[in-house]
Amino acid sequence: MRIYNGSPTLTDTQVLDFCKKGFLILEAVVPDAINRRVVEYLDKNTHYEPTEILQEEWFVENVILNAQAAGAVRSLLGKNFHLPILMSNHRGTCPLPAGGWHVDGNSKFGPELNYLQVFYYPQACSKEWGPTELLPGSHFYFNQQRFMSHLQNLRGVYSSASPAGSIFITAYQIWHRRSASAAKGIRNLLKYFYWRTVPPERDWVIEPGFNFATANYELEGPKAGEQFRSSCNASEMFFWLCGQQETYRVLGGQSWPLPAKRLDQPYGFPFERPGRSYVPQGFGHE
Amino acid sequence: MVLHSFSTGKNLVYYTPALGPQAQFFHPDFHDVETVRAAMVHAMVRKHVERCIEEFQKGELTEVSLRRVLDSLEETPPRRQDLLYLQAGSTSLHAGILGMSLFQNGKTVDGLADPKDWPYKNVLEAVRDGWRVIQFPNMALMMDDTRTYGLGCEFILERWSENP
Repeated sequence: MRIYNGSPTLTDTQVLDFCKKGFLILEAVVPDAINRRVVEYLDKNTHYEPTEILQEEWFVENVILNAQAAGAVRSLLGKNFHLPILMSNHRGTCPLPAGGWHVDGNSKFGPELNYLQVFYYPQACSKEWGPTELLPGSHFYFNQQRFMSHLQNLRGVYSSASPAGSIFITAYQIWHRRSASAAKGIRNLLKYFYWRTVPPERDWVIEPGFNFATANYELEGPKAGEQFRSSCNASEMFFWLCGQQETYRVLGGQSWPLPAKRLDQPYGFPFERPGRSYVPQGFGHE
Repeated sequence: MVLHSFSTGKNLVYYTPALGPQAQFFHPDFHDVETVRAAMVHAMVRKHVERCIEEFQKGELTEVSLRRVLDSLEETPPRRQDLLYLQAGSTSLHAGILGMSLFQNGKTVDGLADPKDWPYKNVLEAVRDGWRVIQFPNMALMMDDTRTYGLGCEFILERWSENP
């Protein structure tokens, strides 16, 4: 089994930020010499699944086990996470029109985070090269590829335009697409998949003073869904990652985790002292 | 049919010699030149039919007059359904728009990636510009508050454009 046992690098706030947005970007973390070597490799192996590259020690060491990327994956998937066994390359000859908004096939929506889809740009990918666009928070928007084909222009889109050697880590089910490109030439974008082998627990970099009661769980920027739904979604995923899924509850009204300026601990906070709130049956621990 | 136009400073005025100097069409009463052209063709057909009625009443109706009507119908440009999908923040016509897809004259309209370039801020603005709502948001997708299905409130609108 190909697993990783390194150290986590993300803090509480960074893990929560991933829960809110559904992705994170690590810019220019792979050395230039490796990026060039990857491009040379992909010019020879132009298959859309150049999986053999995972047998190259230099690639595994610098990309798959890249300290910052693997540290982030370790934070989100726990210790002994499994390494990729399949490599895909979104190799295209630019210019190309924008691709359609989609979720990848076999997407599951919900608070669990058992795997991650990761992308790596071996070449600089400015806007002219059609970088992947992501819709922040959309990893909680239930959908199916076949019902998304008519979508074109969305508000709040994040462009993954970034320098060579950048890696972006995503929740598998996030909405994404290739943006239109104007440049001329070949663009490579490698895509691979890590998965969890152990139950979730809060074993990333603990921030002293991180307060579960007052943390801001609300996604910044445009969002779909009922008001405060993004706070509920992100907090549930965060609690799941902490191994506290049995504790998690939302009592309704002005209860935790709604963002607000309060005088005291919010009503219904899952870790409040017993007896402070009446907790109806079916709302988790008690 | 040849279309001419001149500006009065405030309005753009369209006319065609075939309809005589009285028949003038003011922009923006008609939101685009294709709509103006369609209105003119409609007026011209009407004019020819009126003439046929007069000739009929006088017992002078001829095949030539009836063929003139048919010829004017030929001027009618083929029409195509344009579609506008607007994903809004709520079911209100005033709600801000989260997404927009535009298909005009049988083609996808590009160049609207930046929300600053979107022609409408809400559904009502689109309706005021001649779009007709043909589907309101599916409320069944919003009954479960714990799940967000798609972008939620999708309006589908149509407008007819002439094929230039």
